[in-house]
Amino acid sequence: MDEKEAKGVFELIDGLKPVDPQKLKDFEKTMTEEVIPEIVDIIEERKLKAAESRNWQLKV
Amino acid sequence: MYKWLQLKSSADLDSLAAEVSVEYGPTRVIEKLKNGLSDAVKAILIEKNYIDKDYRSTYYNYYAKKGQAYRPDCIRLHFFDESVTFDPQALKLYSKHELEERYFGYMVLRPTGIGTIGRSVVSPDVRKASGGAIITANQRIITAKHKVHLLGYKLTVEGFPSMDQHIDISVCAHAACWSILRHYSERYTLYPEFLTHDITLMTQQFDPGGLVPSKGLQMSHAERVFQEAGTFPFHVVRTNPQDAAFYRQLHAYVESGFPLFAADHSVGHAMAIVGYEWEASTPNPIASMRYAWDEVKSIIVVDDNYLPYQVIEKQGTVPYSAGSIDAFIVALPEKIFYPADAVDRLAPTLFKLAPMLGGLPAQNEVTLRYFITTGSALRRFVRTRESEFDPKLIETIMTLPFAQFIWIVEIATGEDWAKGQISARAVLDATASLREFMPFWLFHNRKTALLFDRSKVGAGIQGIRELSLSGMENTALTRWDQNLRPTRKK
Repeated sequence: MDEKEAKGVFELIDGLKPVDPQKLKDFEKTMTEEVIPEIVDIIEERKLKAAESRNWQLKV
Repeated sequence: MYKWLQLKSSADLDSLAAEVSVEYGPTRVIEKLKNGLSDAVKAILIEKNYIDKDYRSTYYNYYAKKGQAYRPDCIRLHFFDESVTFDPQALKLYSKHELEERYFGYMVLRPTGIGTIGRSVVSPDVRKASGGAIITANQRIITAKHKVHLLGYKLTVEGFPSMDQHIDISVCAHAACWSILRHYSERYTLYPEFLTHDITLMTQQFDPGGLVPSKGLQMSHAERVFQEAGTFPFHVVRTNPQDAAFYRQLHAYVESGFPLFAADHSVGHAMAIVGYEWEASTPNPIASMRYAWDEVKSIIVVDDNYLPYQVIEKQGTVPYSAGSIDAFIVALPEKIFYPADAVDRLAPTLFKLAPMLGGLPAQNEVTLRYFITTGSALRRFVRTRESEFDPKLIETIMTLPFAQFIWIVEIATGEDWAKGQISARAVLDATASLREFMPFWLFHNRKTALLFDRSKVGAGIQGIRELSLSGMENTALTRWDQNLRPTRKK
């Protein structure tokens, strides 16, 4: 492994700055409390619908 | 063996009846060509005694076993424009232009009496719209280049494969599976070619023999065909008639270049969705948040009841509407774990990151568009548009260790959309898990880029960096159209 490979990706790019953690809070809260549960629910619902649809006849 | 048919008007197609014997179903073929081909087709070369591999696969396994004798050979019709002429003595084609540019594709006719249109690849540019619809430059269609060997010429036609169902040994769902898999084998070296009879066998765990396939396929059989073909079929079903997210992701997969096996459960019909048509104009300014699907006027299907590229309105009735499609299967490559449903729900939440980017357009004034592509394609896209980007952003995109597949989310105001531009672009990891709250590689607008380090699990805020961008305030940040071919009306 050369020296470049050993570095993290951020060390390979010039001019990067850390971000203010406060600015991420609202996004993290929305994702964790609303969006991810919604995603998990809809994927589960689609799985059930897919199982029901597998016997649909297609012949026209 | 070869016969040249000059067409002054579509009425001249009636002459085909004298050249095509009754077992090839000339009356129905002529009717379809009259209704479906544009006047740009000015000549047909009729190639008789053509050996078609797809028909032969059904001939060897079915028709040759029947008491009634079927011919083993087919007829192939080749379509040309007005600049091409044919010398029947020398068996040569002439054109003052490149012959390939004047060739619009071919249609095989099978000697089966019914459902006689076999393997066909016809250019979308010469498809006459039906039912009052008009072919426009706003149409985008998934195509591949298909090689054609004719009289020692090596021609190419860009289109999507289609065929009629055989009726007796294959139904609409077989034809849709065949079309999609033939597109895959021509477009991607990864996938082998499957003949019509192969598709019939792939639906079952054992050879059902006889006429079993004509009794229809079930959705599960189609899923099995795509799985047997080496793809990873993802089966999506509408939860209710108002399920807008179902149609948004249907569009997203097509936009990504994946033709869809689609079903209309109410009538038991299947077809391949291969493209769409944008609305001619979009509200500017936008009054409430929209998705790319809201800007779509119609979808374009390969349906075995019609010539290819049938335009289906979103809410029409003739012959059916996009709104009646209630399930689809997308044959994905491996390593796309983050589904469109997740992207659909995540995309509006991107606006919560606006403070970190120094601002985004108001959420209720934009159109969101999302699709799958590869990290390599993103680098190629950026490389060909270097002037649009700060060199530091280009360096970032060349350096980030993307997984093979990525989701792109583009944010465009009404003004951006009208100009084919965007205000911001997010790059998501298509291998992300459903429960990740930061499935990103990159999110940027014209001022700032956020970079996400995915080399460590659970990096959280420590895994995000900000990059200030300059010189992009007034550049045209182009909307990324790459997978589908705009129709060029001939």
